[in-house]
Amino acid sequence: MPRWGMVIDLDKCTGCQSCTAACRVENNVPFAGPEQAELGRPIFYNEVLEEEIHGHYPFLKTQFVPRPCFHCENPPCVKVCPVEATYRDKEGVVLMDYGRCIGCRLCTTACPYAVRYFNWSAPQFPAPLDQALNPDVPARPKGVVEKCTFCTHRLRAAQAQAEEEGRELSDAEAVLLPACNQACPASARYFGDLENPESSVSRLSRSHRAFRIFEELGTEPSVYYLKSE
Amino acid sequence: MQTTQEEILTLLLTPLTRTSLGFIMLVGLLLLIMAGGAAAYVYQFVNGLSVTGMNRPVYWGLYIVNFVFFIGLAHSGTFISAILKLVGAEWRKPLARAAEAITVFSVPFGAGSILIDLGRVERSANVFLFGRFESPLLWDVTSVSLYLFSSIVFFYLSLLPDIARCRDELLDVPRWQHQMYRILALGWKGHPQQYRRLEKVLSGMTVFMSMLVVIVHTVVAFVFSMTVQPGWHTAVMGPFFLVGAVFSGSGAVVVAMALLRRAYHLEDILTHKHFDYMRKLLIALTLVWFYFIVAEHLTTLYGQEVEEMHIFREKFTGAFAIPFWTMFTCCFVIPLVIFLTKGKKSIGWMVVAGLVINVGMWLERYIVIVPTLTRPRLLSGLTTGTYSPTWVEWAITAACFAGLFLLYALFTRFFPIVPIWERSEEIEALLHETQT
Amino acid sequence: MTIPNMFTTPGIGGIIATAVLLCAAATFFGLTYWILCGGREEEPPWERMGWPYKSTDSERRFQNFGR
Repeated sequence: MPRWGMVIDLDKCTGCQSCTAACRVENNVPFAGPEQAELGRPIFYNEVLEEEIHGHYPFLKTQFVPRPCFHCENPPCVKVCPVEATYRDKEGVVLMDYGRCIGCRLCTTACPYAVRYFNWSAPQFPAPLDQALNPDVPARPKGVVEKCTFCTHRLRAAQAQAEEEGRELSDAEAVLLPACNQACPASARYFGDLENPESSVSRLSRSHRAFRIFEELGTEPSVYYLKSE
Repeated sequence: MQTTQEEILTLLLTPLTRTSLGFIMLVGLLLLIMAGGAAAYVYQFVNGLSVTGMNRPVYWGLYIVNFVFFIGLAHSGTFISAILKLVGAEWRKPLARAAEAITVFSVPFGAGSILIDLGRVERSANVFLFGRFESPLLWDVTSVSLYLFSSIVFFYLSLLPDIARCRDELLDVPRWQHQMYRILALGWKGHPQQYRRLEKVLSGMTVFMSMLVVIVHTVVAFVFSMTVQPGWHTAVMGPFFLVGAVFSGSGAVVVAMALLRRAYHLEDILTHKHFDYMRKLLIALTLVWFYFIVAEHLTTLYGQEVEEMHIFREKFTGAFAIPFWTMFTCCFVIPLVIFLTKGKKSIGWMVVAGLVINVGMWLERYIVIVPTLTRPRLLSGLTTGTYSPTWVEWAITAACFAGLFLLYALFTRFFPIVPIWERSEEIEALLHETQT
Repeated sequence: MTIPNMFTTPGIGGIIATAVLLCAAATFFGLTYWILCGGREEEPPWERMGWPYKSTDSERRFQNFGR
C-alpha cells in the first residue's frame, strides 16, 4: 500500500508562487478579490510562506516555504471532526467529505499548520475564470472547509490508468503528478510513495538536509523540506 | 417588622394577575431587538459567514464567545440551588428559583450560538447520524444537551407545587392563564407523600446537577484546550472556565435579585442579608479568578516559549491590550473595591459590581478565544490575523441577550419568582420530620 | 496509541449521545410520574405486586381457620 508524501527543496525554491497559482486553477479554488483578500478570506491550498529577513547586511537571509497540506499521519484535524467529514484514506492522504461537513471549523482551529480554509461565501468564478474550471474536481458549496488534497483526482486517474495497463505507477510519473509540482520552474518539488525506499521522495526524505515542520508535535507530516545549504 | 405569611403570599402572587405598562414596553423593546437579530441571521444564512468579521486564521469569533459566555452564565442557577444546597446554606432558598431561571433561559442561547456559527446548520443532524466521540464537539453536544434537559426538569419540578398554588388561588386571571396553570400543574394535589417524594428527587438531582456543572464547563474548555494551539493547550483551561462560569453566574444572580426586589417589591424576602452573603461569595470568587489569571500568565511569561509569547505580548501590550486590561479591571479591580467598600451597605453598588463582572467575563471569553486565533502556531506574515466583528455579529449578540431577558421577564410575569412552597412552615415541618 | 473504535467510528458517537439523552428523558419522566403518584391510597406492598389473593380473601380464610 503506497503512502504518498512530498519533498520540497528550499534551496531550489525561488518563491515564484507558480505552485500556488497552478494549484488554484487545478482545484477550482474560488476567486476572492482584493476586498475579501484584505479581510483574510482567500483560499490557498498551497501557500508560499515567507520567513522574515534575518541577519545584517551583507549577510542577509530569507526563506520561502511553500506550504501545502502536510497530510499528517496523526492528523489533529481528523481527531476533532465531529462527523468524520475529514478522514485519512488508506494511502495516507487526508481528504474532505464536502457533503458531510457542517462547517463547525473545529478542524481549522485544530490544525497547527493553518492549512485548512473555509468557504465564507458561495464560490464565485467571474469571467474568464469560469472558462478554466476543471471538471475532475468536485464543486464545494459555501459553508464547508476545504484544503489541499495532494491532487487526489490526478492520483486516482494515474493509478487507474496504470492498473488498466497492468502495471504499477512508476516513480517518474509520480514525481510531478500534483499540479504544484508540475508547475514549479525550479523543479523544487517531488511527490511519491514514502513506503517505497527507492522512490525520489523516500531517498530525499533520508537526506541530512531533510526536516519537517513542528516535528515535536508528533503529527508526523508527510511533507519533508530540504534545508538550504 | 415581620411580614406575615399572608402578606408574603400576596406580594409574590399579585404580580401574576396583572400586566403593567412598563412590562409591555419592555417586552416590545426586547422583541424589536430580537427581530433585528433574526434579520441579521437571515442575511447571514443567505450570504454565508462572509458577512461576519471572521476570516483565516480567526475562524471563530463573537458567536463562540457568546456560546462560552451563556453556558458560563448558566452555572449561576446550578451553583446557587445545587451546590449551596449540598453545603447546607439555607439562605440560598429565596434566590434559588431566580438563579435557576437564569440557567434555564441562558443555555438555549449558548447552544443556539453554536448553531448560528455553523457553516451548514441544516446539516447539524449529522452530529447525531455520523457523530464521532473522539471529537470534543460531541462531548459538548452530549453534556450541554443533558445539562439543558436536566435544568429544565429540575426547574419545573421545583416550580410544580407553586404552579398548583397558582391554579388554586389565582382566580381572577384570564381563562387561558388559568388553563395554563391547570395543565402545567400535572394534577399536583399537595399530598404529604408527594412533597416527600419531590424533596427526595430534588435532593438527588442536586447531586447530579452539581457533577454536571463541573463536566459541562470543563468540556466546553476542552474544545479549546484539546487543540495544540499556543495559549489554548493548557491544563488550567478547564478549571479556569469553571471558576469563570460560577463567577459570572453569581454576578448575574445579584443583578437578578436586585431587579426582582425592585420590580415586585420583595424587600422583606430578598433582604440585605442575602446581598451580604452574595457579597462574601463574590469576594472569594474574584480572588480565585485572580489566582487563575496570575497562574496562567506567570507560567507563560517565565517559560518564554516563542509561540506563547507572541500571544502574551498581544494581550499585555499589543493589539488586545485594551480588551485585556479592561477585562482585568472589570473582573478584579472594580468588583473587589466595591465589595470591600460601598457594596457592604448599598444594593445599588452590588448591582454595578454584578454588571461589571459580567462585562468583564464576556471580555474574558473574547480574550481567551481570539488572540490565540490571530497568532496560530505556524506564524508567518500570511497567517497573522485581525478580527473586527461586523454589525451582523453584534446584532445577533444583542438579540441573544434580549432573548434571555425576554424569557426571564415572561417567566416572572406568570410564575412566582421566589419559591412559596419551600418557605411554608407546614411543608418545612413535614420535611424535617421525614429527615429525622 | 490506538483509540478504541467506539470513539473514532462515525455514527457510534451519535448513538452514545442519543442514548444518554434518551436515558435521561426516561429517568426524568419516571421520576416525575413517581412524584405525582405519591399519596394514592396506601396499599399493602403485596397487593401492589399483584399478589393473587385479595386482602378480603385472606381475612375470610383466617376467620375460617380453625373451624
